[in-house]
Amino acid sequence: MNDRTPSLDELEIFSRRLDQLIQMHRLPTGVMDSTHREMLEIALTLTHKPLPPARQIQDEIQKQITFYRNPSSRTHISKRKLVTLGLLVSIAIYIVACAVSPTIKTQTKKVLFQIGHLLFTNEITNAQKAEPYLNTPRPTPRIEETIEHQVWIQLSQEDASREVGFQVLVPHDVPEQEWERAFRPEWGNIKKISWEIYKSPEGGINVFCDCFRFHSVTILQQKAIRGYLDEFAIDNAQVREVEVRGVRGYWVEDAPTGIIGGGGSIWSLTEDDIVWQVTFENYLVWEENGILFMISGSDELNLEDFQLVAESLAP
Amino acid sequence: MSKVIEISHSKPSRKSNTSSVTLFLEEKFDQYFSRLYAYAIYRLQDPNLAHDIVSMTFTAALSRSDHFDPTKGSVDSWLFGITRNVIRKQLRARKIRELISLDSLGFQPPSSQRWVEEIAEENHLLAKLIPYIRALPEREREILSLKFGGEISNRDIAEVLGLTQSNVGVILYRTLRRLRDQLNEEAEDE
Repeated sequence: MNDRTPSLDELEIFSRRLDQLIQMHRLPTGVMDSTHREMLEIALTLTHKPLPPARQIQDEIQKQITFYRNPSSRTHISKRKLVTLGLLVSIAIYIVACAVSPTIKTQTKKVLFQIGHLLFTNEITNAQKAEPYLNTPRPTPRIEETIEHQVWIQLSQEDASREVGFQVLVPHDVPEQEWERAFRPEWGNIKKISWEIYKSPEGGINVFCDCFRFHSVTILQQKAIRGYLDEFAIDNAQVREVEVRGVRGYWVEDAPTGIIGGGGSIWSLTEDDIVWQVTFENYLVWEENGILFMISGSDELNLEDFQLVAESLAP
Repeated sequence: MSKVIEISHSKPSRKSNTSSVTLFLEEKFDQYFSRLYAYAIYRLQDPNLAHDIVSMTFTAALSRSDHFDPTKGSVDSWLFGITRNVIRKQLRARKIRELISLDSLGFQPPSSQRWVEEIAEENHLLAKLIPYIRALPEREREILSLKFGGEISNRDIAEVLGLTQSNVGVILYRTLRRLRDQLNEEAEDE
């Protein structure tokens, strides 16, 4: 195959013809060699749109523009902005208070809160510790060496409940959120949720749920172990006390605890193309009837989304 | 407790505005929809995914329209830049899912297979080109998709991809030449 670099003149002439072709949707006139003609014929074929988009989908998306121009959503945003501003001011006051008060500084240095047997600390997370090694070439440790190889066993809800000695709860009805409706792309398809249950090597039950359009969450359920504490580092994540299913819980926002990998193309899946990076996650955690519940998911899901999942949990 | 998770699409913030960009997108909706869709379909070769991508692009563009700065580039480069990011994010998410589920390696979505079959009925030469386009290196396929699907200028492609304009021209030339050589080789073999 001829991969030679074309001369500048050749390139300029060809580019001009290509632009003419794209503007006119037909082959440009004029004398040209057979190679250029064949290349332009290919270009012309490529400008023919490969099957037009569905009109219904076009209409759906056009509705989104209306959604974004709707005055009621603007009001909603103002409230959100106000809440965010309030939160930022609170955080700023908190940081200043920590800086000037050695007492607060010492007290908040390590433990942020405790729930069940989990002690949430402001130490750097395992994901952050692994970060320098994530994309280094072999034999330096890469991601697969930094994460323990663990065996996860898939179970039915009944088997999972029998294994752990308590009734494992699963999400049932998580209503479609407004932002999901804006994302509803295909003929207004109905939202369906699905889940799978796995037992982790530590003995906890993890329910992986595709609870939102494009977003999944993990719901950890584990007997709260008395007389034993396990630390869970969340670095500088924001922590807020909230009510979950009628009990006290905590909302943890932007914890750098996840590791994601990606890159390359779906058509050429090779491990070496992957770029790994640390990502932020949110958590909603509470203890209910001696069971520790922890919902984790993308930082793009908010407390309202997590609360919906929590509320939907049932046998 | 580090774990591998799948990444997901940007959730649209419910930010609203009536900026000039929003109005512009509304006015030119049909034109941009068709170009963004063609770009996405060349890039992904899956109509369902392409529809999702365009939907997400508009959502993202509308929610961030106040970030558009005309002094930094054209609407074309801004909008196609957003689409490119949405596609990359989608590909990453899909890749993670496929890596987790090893038996799905090499999986081609049914909608993509159907799409290729429908193309074959409509445009024989394009159907012949599809596997060669699919086999192109990512950068070449990206440029080809932006040029012929998105119909954007070499200058805007250069802006979107962070290349020089002349580099884009050379890559396009080589890519078309490569496709032409491959078609000719196939014809000779037949």
